[in-house]
Amino acid sequence: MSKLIPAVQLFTLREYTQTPEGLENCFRRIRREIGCDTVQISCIGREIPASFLASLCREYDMKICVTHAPPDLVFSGDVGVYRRLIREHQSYGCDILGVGNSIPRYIDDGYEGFQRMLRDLAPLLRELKENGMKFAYHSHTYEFVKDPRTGRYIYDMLVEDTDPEVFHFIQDSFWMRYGGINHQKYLEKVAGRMEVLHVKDSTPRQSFCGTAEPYFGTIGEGNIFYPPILDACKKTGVQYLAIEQDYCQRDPFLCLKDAMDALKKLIADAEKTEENEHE
Amino acid sequence: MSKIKIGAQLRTVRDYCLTREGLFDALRRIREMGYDGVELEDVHKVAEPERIAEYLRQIGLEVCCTRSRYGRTEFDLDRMIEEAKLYQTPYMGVGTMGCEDIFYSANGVHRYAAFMTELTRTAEKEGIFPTYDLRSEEFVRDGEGKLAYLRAPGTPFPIDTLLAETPQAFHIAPDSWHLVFASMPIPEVLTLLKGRVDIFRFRDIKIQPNDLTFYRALRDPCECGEGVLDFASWLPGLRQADVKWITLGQEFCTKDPFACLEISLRNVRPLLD
Repeated sequence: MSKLIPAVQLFTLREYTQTPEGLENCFRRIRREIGCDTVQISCIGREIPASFLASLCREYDMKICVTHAPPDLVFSGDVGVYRRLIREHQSYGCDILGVGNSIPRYIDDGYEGFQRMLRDLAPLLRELKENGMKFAYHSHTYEFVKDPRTGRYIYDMLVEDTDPEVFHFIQDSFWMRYGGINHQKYLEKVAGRMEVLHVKDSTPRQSFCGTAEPYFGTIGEGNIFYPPILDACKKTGVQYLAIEQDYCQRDPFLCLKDAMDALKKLIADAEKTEENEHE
Repeated sequence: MSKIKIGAQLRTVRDYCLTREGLFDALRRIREMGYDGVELEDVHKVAEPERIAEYLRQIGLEVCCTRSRYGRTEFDLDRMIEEAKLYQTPYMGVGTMGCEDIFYSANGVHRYAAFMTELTRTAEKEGIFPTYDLRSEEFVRDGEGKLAYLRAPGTPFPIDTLLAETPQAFHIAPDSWHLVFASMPIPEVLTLLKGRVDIFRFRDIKIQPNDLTFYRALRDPCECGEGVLDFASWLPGLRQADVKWITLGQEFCTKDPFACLEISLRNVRPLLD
C-alpha cells in the first residue's frame, strides 16, 4: 500500500506561470498558502530556463513529481531534442517526462493513429530508458475509442503493447467519469505503471436541452466519489494526487486551496480506513 | 432476493409503434427475442389499453412499468393508475421534472415534491408506486431560479430535496446514461436511493472521436454491452438493492432498432444467469 501525497498540477495556474517572476510567485503561494510541496510542471512559459526551475525547487524545497512536456517536442522525433529534455528533467530532479495529450495527427486517425504514435515515440522511450527515466501518457476519454476490427480500446493497446518499465500513465479522475469508464478497473490495469493521478471534481451544469453536462470543479464540491478511487490508488502504487482544475469559477489559488484541504481530508480518511482494515 | 428480470425500453423502437399494428408487431418481436417484459411508453395514444393488455397476456410479455410525461400527471392521473392496474404492473411512470422549467423557478423542486407526494398518496391506495425517471439534472446543485453553476457550493442537489420531501412509495428509476452525465457512480446512487429502486435502466455509451474538440470525445448511444459501461460490476449492488427489473434500450440507433434490442439482450442476459 502506497502513501498518497497531494500535489498541484501547474496547468491550473497557467495564466500565472508564463514569466520567471510569475512562476516564482506561484511556487511561493503553493508552498505557503496552499501548504503543498509537490508540483507537476505543465504549460509554463517556454522561455523559462530549466536552471531557474531547479533553483526554485531548491529555494522553496519543492519537488517536481512529473511534467507535461510540450507535445511538439515530445512528438518531434528529434533525438537531440529528447536528450535536451532529459538533461533538463535531470537538472530539477524529475524522472518522469509526461505528455498532456496526443496530437491531432494521431488522434484523427483513431486506433491506427495511436499505433503510429507508439512507433514515433520509440526513440524517446529508448533515450528515457537508457537514462533510468520514464514516460507518462496523460489520457482523456478519446483513448476509449474502439478499434473497429478487433473491438480493442486504444487505451488497452497503450497498456498492452508498450514496455511497462518505461511507458507509464497519468489518468484523470474527471475524464474517466466523463466517459463513464470503470476507473478502479483501469487503475488496476496500470498497477505499478502510474505514479501520478490527476484529481479534480465534476460539478455538472445544466445544458439548454435539460440534461446535465460534467464540468470541471473543485474537489469536495462535486459528484466524484473519491474513497474507492483512493483505495485503488493505494493498492496499485499511485504516489501523487495532483490537483488540476482546467477552468475555475473563482480565483484559481482559492480553488486550489479549497481542493487541497478537501483532498488532505480524503487522504487522511483513506489512511484511517487502511489502518482499521489492518487491525 | 428474487431473480432480476430483463425488460425492453419500448422507446428504442418508438418509430415502429405509431400504429396499432406496428405496436403489436413490436411487442411480439420483443417477446420473441426473449425479453421478460417491456416498458410501455405513451401507448395509450395508439391503441386501447384494454386491447394492449389482452395482447400482452396472449404473448406472455410482462409490463415492467408504464412511462408517461410529467404533463399527463396533472390532468389524467386516474387513467394512468387504471392503465398500470390493467397492465398488472405496480410501477407507474410519472416522467421527470427536468422538462418542466422546475429548475428555473423559485421553490420549483419543493413544489414538485409536494405535488408528487399528493399523487403518491392517491396511487398508493391502489397499490401503485409512482416511478420517477431519474436523469442527470437532479445532481446539478439546486438553482432555485438561477443557473445552477452560479450557486455557492453546499447548496442542496434537487435529488436531496426530492428524497427528503416525498414518501418512500415514490419510486425512482435510474438510468445509466444520465448517471454518467451527472458524474454519479452507481453504487453511491443505489445507497442514496435505498428502497426506492425496483427498476434500473441500462443504456450504454460508445466513445467516438470528436472532430471539433478532440479532447472532449463524443459519447454516443450504443447497444448495451458494446460500449464502455461496465454493467457486470454493478450487478452485485443491484442485487443487494433488490432491483426487480433491468431494462435495456437506447435513445438512437445506428442500425435496425430491433437488432439493437436483440444485441443488448444477448450481451446482458449472460451477466444475469
